[in-house]
Amino acid sequence: MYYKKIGYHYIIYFLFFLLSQNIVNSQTLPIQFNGYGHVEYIVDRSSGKTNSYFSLGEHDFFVRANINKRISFLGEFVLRFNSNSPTTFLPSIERSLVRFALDSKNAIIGGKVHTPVNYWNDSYHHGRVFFPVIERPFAFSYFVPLHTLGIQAQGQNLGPLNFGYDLMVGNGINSTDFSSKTFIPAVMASFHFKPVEGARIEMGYYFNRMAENGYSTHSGHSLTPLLTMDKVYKGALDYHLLTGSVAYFGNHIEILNELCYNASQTDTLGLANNISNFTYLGIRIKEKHIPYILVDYIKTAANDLHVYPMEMIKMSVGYRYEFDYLVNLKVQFEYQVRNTSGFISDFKDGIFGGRIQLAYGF
Amino acid sequence: MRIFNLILIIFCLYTLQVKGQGSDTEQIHVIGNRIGFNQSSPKEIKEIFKGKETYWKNKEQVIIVLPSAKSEHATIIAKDIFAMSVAAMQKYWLQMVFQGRGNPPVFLSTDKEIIDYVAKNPGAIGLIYRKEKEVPASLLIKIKS
Repeated sequence: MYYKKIGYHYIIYFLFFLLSQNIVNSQTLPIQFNGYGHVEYIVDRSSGKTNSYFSLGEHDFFVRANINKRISFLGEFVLRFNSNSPTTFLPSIERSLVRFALDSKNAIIGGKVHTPVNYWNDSYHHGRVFFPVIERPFAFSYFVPLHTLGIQAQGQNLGPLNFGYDLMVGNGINSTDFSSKTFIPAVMASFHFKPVEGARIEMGYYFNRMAENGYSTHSGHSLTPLLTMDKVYKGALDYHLLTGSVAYFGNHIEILNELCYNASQTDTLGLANNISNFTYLGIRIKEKHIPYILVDYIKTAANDLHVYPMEMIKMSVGYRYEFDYLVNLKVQFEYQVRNTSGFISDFKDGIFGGRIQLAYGF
Repeated sequence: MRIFNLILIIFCLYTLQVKGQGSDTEQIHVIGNRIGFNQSSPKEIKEIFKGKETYWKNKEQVIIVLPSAKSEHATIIAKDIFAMSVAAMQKYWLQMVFQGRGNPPVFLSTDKEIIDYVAKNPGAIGLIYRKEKEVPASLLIKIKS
């Protein structure tokens, strides 16, 4: 624990050193430094109780540097709320990667990345100013491994349809940024093409053979609401994830659909089939005004031993105003139904609420 | 869910009918330094400035030089090459860099600064307003009609 505290302090000191020394040169850009953050106001009502509060979101420090003509570094360091910390905020390394360009279109990447398994996870990281809506789809809390530490081959803009690929091996879901308890790494592959300007169609596959079921801090995985770790299955589990993304962000219309199919297999209860789908439709009016709707749905099977059984749906109507490409305001009214049923947890409620998010970058 | 699938299909059909906006390069000079060619089509120029290439065929790294929001010609250039507003063009590139899928462009405030930068940096390609008189002929990239 002491060693980890020292490591994080050095990261913060290094970032402030860069700022104070004006190493960032706006003309030659040897190093680019950006910051992102967000604040929210939330009102929600469930089980007859209404809450309203402000919330300080995670703050994100992004660094990118050309080390030489072929090699570049990218880092993303986040400060976020954590009730276990004496200061209630803890830093973490969300991305830290070195990219070696083989040629104009192909590269090898080593380090910690956002698992490039679908459009959302590849495009949207921790800066909410880039999100089209206020928060990530359900799938990123339960299915999609947000980060992977490993080695990746990447290609982009190949051919007339701008074909791209990402192939990766790395630490699995139940591992840390320091070690893993299994010999077999996780593997993933995704392929995309861009049929027209602003569009991207993608399919991805991720597989992790877990010798011991579990959830690391950065896997993005959570348990079904109200389930606790002491009741969770800890045996072997094979985890498959198949994704499909359709995205179009044009001057007038924005569309994003993220489909995830997850199969988790155990000797105990066999194959569990789970699914989620996120649909977003926005219309851009006079450049800065974007009203939108979204529907987010997730269902896990009764015999699933990784996420555990649940079903949730969220329907939202929202509006995004872009003051500038670095500042936007989002207002969302949403209704969410949660239903967990199974041998461990049984809970059902509906939540009606509203959220306002101010997202910014610099 | 069937209704939402139908809405999605209709929107996809609508958007795929959106015709690609041809870039109007009549008001713009493209300048480049040791980029391996001295003429190109409007489509190729647009793709270059959107980050399709990161290295030229002569192995030089592509350095994209664009007018910043302070430039008096930024609006025309963003519209003609990117078919976007200046803010949208800046957001596009910020997202590309943030995703790790592009080298950050250089944004400069005046055409003269852009010319000077391109002249001093092999691999640089930039956009300036056509009415800028003092452009070295060796830097000009001809746009094929």
